Amino acid sequence: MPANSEDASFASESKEDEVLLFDCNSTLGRRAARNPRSVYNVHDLLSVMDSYSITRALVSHASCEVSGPTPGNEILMSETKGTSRLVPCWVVLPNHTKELGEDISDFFRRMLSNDVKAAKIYPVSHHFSLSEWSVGHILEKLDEHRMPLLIDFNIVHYSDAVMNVQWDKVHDICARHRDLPVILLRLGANVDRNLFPLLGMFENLHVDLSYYTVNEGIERICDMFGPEHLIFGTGLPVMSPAGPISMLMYSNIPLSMKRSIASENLERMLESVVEQ
Amino acid sequence: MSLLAGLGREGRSLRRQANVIDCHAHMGPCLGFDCPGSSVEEMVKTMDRVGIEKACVSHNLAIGPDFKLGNRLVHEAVKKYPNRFIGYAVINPNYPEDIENELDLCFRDYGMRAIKFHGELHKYALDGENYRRVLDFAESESLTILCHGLGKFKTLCELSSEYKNVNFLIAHYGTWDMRTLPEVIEVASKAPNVFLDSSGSVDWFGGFDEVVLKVGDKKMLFGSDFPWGNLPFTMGRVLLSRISDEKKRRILGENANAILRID
Repeated sequence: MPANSEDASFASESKEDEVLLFDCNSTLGRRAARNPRSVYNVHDLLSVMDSYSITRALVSHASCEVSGPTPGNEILMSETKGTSRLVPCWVVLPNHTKELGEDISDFFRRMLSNDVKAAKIYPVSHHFSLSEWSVGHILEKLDEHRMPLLIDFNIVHYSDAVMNVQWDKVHDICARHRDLPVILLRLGANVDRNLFPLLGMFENLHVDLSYYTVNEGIERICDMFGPEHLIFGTGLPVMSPAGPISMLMYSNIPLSMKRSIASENLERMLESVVEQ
Repeated sequence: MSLLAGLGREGRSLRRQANVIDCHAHMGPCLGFDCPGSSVEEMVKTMDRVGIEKACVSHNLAIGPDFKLGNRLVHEAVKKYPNRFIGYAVINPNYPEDIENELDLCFRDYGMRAIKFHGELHKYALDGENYRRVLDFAESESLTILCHGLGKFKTLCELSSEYKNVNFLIAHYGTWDMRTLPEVIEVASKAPNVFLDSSGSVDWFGGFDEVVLKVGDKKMLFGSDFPWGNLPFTMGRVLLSRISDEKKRRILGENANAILRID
């Protein structure tokens, strides 16, 4: 008998209740500083995912967070080859310095030919502006392919968001590229006063759950803006997946919404990528 | 997957499976940002849904601008829900003229069970003269003090040795930085009257398990910090950790029952 069998949403132990988790915010590879139990290779990451029943993960290479796209994106491809549970995500940045190659179209052709359907940027770690004059040409290409853009603002503690998140630029990106799915990673508990007006304006704006630790926050976003704005994410293997999993599963929303957030929203985004 | 881990993975209530005492919660509007669900009634609903039996609370007004008003509001919440909330008396050391009277009010009239220091927000050193007046009271009454903002761990070591009847409960296991964990572990391991609260928004992978392994499960108490943060978020690190259910139950409630002398 389930512990709260009186709750109709948990009345059955069957697979009908199962919520498959697709993590949008994970990395592979070594880092300069390592916490005691952190993992870095495919085998160990999959083992950790197994222990939390995480089915799939969108992964980028950890080295890209400080070193840029090269060589991490290519290493990622060789490491995830043949591992369907790890879905590659390439790190990109503005190409004024030609770090993505001479021709940006060639870069995106290479991405798509490798079946890479999501891109991540680190505007804080990589020291670039999110203004149109800086990132516009990259966003045009992502928009053209409807390729999800994940933005990592290098937030560890939620107080970092005050300095790191460029809210006006997030507004401009969502407004100018309305078909571009934008996922803000690791926003903390203190963002709603800036986040909510943007969620109200832009259907293409999303938040990952990895650090969205607002009390009753999932419930409030689902109620005010809809569950399609939330994407399950963890921050593995640097951060623990325990909090995001527990937060989602204990949230007071219908099972169908939990499933949307847990995997369906991200799957739909990736399936909607235009390859030509 | 153990029973409690399974409940956490599936989001099922802990009621009837574990006696859960949240040793670190607040109430009322947060400081600097919006936190929904922070009224007394909303908090009880959240606790019911997740399966939290009791929450030990200090009011956000008390750790912020007005400790006396905050203490009174906690008293009113405890009066309304005597089986669900346990009050922490917050003492702001920047108002030394009120310290003894407020302690008297909180423990004689309000029936509070422990003390909360917030040296970080009140910008006051743990071993400062005015906090020592509170420590003297806590020593005479054998009270627990939940401490947020420690300064140097050496200070905590010295105070825990000087005030042997006081239980020092370190908020957020004392750190947001994994690289300072060895200090936390050392002081909690050595001092019999130093305990750790499991709350904290930054949850490094493996960090909780590492600390529990080294300090022992009898030194860790479940805390959520809700409604500053999400209650199930912080509970997840206990439920989904790799320690046994027996140890999880100690952390979730049995340790708090013993240390805070909850009936």
